[in-house]
Amino acid sequence: MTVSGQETFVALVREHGRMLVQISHAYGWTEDERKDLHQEVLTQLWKAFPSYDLRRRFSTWMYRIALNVAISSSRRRREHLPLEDAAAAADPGEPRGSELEQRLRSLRQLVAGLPPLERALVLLYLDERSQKEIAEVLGITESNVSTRIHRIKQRLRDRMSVEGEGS
Amino acid sequence: MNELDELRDLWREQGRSLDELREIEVATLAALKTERLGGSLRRWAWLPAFELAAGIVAQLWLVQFIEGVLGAPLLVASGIALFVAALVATMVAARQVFLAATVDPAGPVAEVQDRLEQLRTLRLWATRWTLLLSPLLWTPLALVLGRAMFGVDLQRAVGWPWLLANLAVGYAAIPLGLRALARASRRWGASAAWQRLREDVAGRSLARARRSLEEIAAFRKEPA
Repeated sequence: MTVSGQETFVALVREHGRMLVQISHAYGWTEDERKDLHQEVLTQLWKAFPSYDLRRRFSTWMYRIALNVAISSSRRRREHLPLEDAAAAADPGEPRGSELEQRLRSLRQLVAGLPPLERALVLLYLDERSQKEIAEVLGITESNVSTRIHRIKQRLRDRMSVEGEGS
Repeated sequence: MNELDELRDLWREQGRSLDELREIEVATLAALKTERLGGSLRRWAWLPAFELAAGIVAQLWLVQFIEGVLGAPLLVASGIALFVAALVATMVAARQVFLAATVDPAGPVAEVQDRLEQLRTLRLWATRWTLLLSPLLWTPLALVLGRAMFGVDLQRAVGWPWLLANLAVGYAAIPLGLRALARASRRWGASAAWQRLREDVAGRSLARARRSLEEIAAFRKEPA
């Protein structure tokens, strides 16, 4: 890769680094796994960058590679964890914070318990990607995206109302 | 407003504070500039490519072998059994090479995952049947190699009882092998390799891979 290509790559990755971190967090349960995954994602992006078409949207290209690497890597490491295990893995046992923080923790647990592809869909939605871009990244129709988001919202609402009753 | 939408801002804000991976990012980007890191989604491609080449060579060799022993029915039957096994292995390897070569890491996630799971399923299927059938293929292999390498006709040299006993041991080796694997994995339970081998032979890994494929297919399908 040329020096200017390297600089462009580093700048683009820094711009979208937050989402890469979220992906590593969503697919790696332990700190070591997250670090390995983050490194693997960056490596694959780097290797693929020379074939990236600059006329296309970088974020779509980046999400596809990052999610493909993350899902494959998490499948290799272990099968989809049962919800309780995923929830435990996603909850580092921090002291309870504000109500909003508790709800965020519930959201993290819900995301961690989802199958890998639905997890990808929620991550993209939370990153405020349009339904069109989510559909492009995942390779499904926009109506499929819309229906699945609606159902996940419903699940989250149910989960939070149960937790609300329990507390 | 919905819970999920309300939490979006907080989620994004929290992402900014997840700094633990930033150091990795800096180190990785520095290492990448010196081309010190490897790994690929196509990491499985080299093994099927080798199997494909080996399978083709084995088939060509077996055709020649069979032509040379047409007067000896047992050797012909052994050669044909090995040829069929090599043919199936070659076809499976060719499919794996095709799938691995056509995986585009920048492709739509559901499609790429479907291909990778197909690849994994094929690999597990091939591993399982190779492990299960190898005790049975041992006898024809011994007959063929005995003749080809040492010019010995094992059927005449050691007689039918030896060959039949060999075949019987081959059959018995399958359940005994499974039991030995179970015992070994209990004893060395911490070893991931033992566990994986046991799961592969028992078909549990294959069943999981098939479930993953079904899960991906359901995801791609428009929900009812």
